[in-house]
Amino acid sequence: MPSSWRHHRSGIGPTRKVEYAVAVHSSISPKDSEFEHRRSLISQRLRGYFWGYFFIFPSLAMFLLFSLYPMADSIRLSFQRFALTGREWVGFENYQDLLQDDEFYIVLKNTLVYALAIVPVGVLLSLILAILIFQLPTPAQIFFKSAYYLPVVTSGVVLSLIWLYLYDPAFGLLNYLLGTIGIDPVLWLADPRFSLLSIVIMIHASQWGGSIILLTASMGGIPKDLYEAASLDGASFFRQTVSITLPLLKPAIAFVAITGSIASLQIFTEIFLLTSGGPNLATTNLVYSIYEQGFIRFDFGRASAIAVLLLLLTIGIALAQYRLLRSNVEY
Amino acid sequence: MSPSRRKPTISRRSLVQSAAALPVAAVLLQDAARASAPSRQSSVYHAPAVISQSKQEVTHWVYSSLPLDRDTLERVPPDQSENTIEYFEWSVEQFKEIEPDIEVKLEFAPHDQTWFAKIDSSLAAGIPPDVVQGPVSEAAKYIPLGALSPIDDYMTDEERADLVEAVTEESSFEGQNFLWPWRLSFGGGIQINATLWKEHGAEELLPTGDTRRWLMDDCLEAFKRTTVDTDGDGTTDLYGTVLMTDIHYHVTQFLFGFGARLFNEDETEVILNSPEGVEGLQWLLDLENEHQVAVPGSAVRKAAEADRLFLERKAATYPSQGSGTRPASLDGVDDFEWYWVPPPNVEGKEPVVMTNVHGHYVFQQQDADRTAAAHRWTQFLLRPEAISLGLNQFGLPPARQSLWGQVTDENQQVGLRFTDIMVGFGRRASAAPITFTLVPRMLEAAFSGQKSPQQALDDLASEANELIADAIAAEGG
Repeated sequence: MPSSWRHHRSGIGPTRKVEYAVAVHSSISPKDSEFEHRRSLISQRLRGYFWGYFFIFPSLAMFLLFSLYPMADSIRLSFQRFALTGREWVGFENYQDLLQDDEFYIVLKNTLVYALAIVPVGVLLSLILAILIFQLPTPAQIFFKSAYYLPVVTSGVVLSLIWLYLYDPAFGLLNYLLGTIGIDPVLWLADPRFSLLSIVIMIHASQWGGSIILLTASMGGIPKDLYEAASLDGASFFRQTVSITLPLLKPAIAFVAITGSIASLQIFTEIFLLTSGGPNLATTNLVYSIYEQGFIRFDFGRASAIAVLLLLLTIGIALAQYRLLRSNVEY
Repeated sequence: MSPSRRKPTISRRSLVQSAAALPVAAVLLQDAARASAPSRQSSVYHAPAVISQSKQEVTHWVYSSLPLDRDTLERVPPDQSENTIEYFEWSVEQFKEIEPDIEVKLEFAPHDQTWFAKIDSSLAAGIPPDVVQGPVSEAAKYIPLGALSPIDDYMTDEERADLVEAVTEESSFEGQNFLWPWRLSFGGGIQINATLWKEHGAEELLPTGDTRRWLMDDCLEAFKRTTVDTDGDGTTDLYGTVLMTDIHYHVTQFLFGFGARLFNEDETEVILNSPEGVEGLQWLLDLENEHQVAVPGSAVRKAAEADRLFLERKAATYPSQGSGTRPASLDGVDDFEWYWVPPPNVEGKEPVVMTNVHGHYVFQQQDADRTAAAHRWTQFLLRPEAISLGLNQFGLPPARQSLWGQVTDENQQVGLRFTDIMVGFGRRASAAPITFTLVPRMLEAAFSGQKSPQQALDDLASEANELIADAIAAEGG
């Protein structure tokens, strides 16, 4: 076989027709030639993308090993009873036990209350603050954005301990301030009427900095000539905000709402440190219940079942929000 | 491109999708393998296979730590690093001199929820440690599984005779003893800031005598006298006591003083919802709600916070646990006279204190020599001279009676008398969730007003008895 033919068959250069012609004039059949061509194309592509796969492989392996595999195993565990001597397949028994347990509905209700109390108010709050901050001169903007973002980067444990002090019924700052205006001390965390609300207040005071920064950045992307045109037409600040800013911010608002919902369904640190889910389940949500079932009662099957239900709830809420809030925005 | 030419079979998308399917496939294959393997016949734990060696290595998981001066063997501050040796490491060095073929490897870990997860996962993986520090209430979980090695064949008659009968009973299950007893942990007792009591006219109410027993009425009167607005601003800034709900035995010890008990004799039933229990719980609630002598907010307060309030002198007493050892944080603080007393009782009733026997338990290994080596090490660790060394330092009285004569501190001597009023924490698998979840939740419901004392206790008994029934069924299976 001429060396030039071998060169052609290496996959570098020759077109399909040339190779076919070579194959026709050689002892190699058309079928073999097609296979060789296909193999050479794959080899070309893999060589081209090799370094890409090489660099993403560690992260992908970590994700598969430490995220996806445990998730799959957790779903499997939700259909089993866990004991130190081994696992036993019980089908939907864990789910049936949950759905027949009154405590589960209390916990589910708390979870939904957290989400409803945190997300709409939080989105509105961060939107208002972002709009107000955006009007300020740049140095002031930097100051306020930093101030609101600082709690976001502070450890949840530290924040919780500070709020624990603030909420102390006998020696805390909040009740001291209430006392100066003649209001009786409030059992912020010990009274079931206020305990969940107290945690919600803490979340609102400390977790929306990231959303504020995102919204102000998005507002920076809105063309100024839209506002100029509106001003020329006599539109007030309020009118401009409602008719220009809000519609064009819809994608950012949707992002804040969806990510905020996912986060609000998974609050744990604050509950663990402030109330341990009490008093008597008043602040227990699904995530805290997973911890309690798994690491205190060692009922990992039941804990996994709760985790699967939480996953379904989160997906459902996120999908509903996405459908409701999605929009195509063009400047 | 020729119509007959087909695209390559492997695209980037299909490659990533295939990779994502790998973990799911791994999970399903595990199930298939498990389904085709012979199922286990019993729930008894099967020890892992270990190759026998002439030299043995013993792993010991501990959570207590005591830094000592290497020369004087006196306790040193935790931040001192020169010429120091840790208490257990000192024993390891001593042991190596007499048993050079047994190498002991200590592993220190915090005694929190991760501790239990670590032991359970190592057991589930078939590679448990040889020795684990812990109280009998924690060892009890592994005994029905057949995972622990009894100590009876290794304990000498002298050692056996040196233990209080109540201690031996507490560590025994169906006639076998599974815990090398080290110290006693009393889950009750009241810490008193006697300085504050004297300052505010409650000195006469300080319990006295060998046992320092006192009555519930005197206790309440003392709390009232030490609840004070010290700076005259109209708000109370010193409270008679501080209560909590996460560690239930800190406060249920008051219920026991009314004659209530958590379990019946054979631990087949929770009986805290007796009339005595209801009366005791109401008395406890009245401390905060009616008499206002307890720091408000007990429903969700944790013991750590209560401890802090006591040390900060915002509460004059702190119902807690211990042996009568003055807290190390009060070292060098002269104007805090620390006083230790048992829980109060009503006339005609005896108080009790839930007590845990602390020690070390040995996991069964397939290699009998290795298990024997573990027992030899643990037995050596609990020799009288070693326990004497840490007598005043660890803050827990020794389980050996022969060492009680070395206790000179008055408060600790009172603590030792708690052995007269000790009851166990419960030994069934149900004991832990009852102690750490159900009773705290009952207290939260009662303190927060969500339930009346009777209702809270009845619900506790109902739920707890279900757990006990499940535990008994599992023991029988």
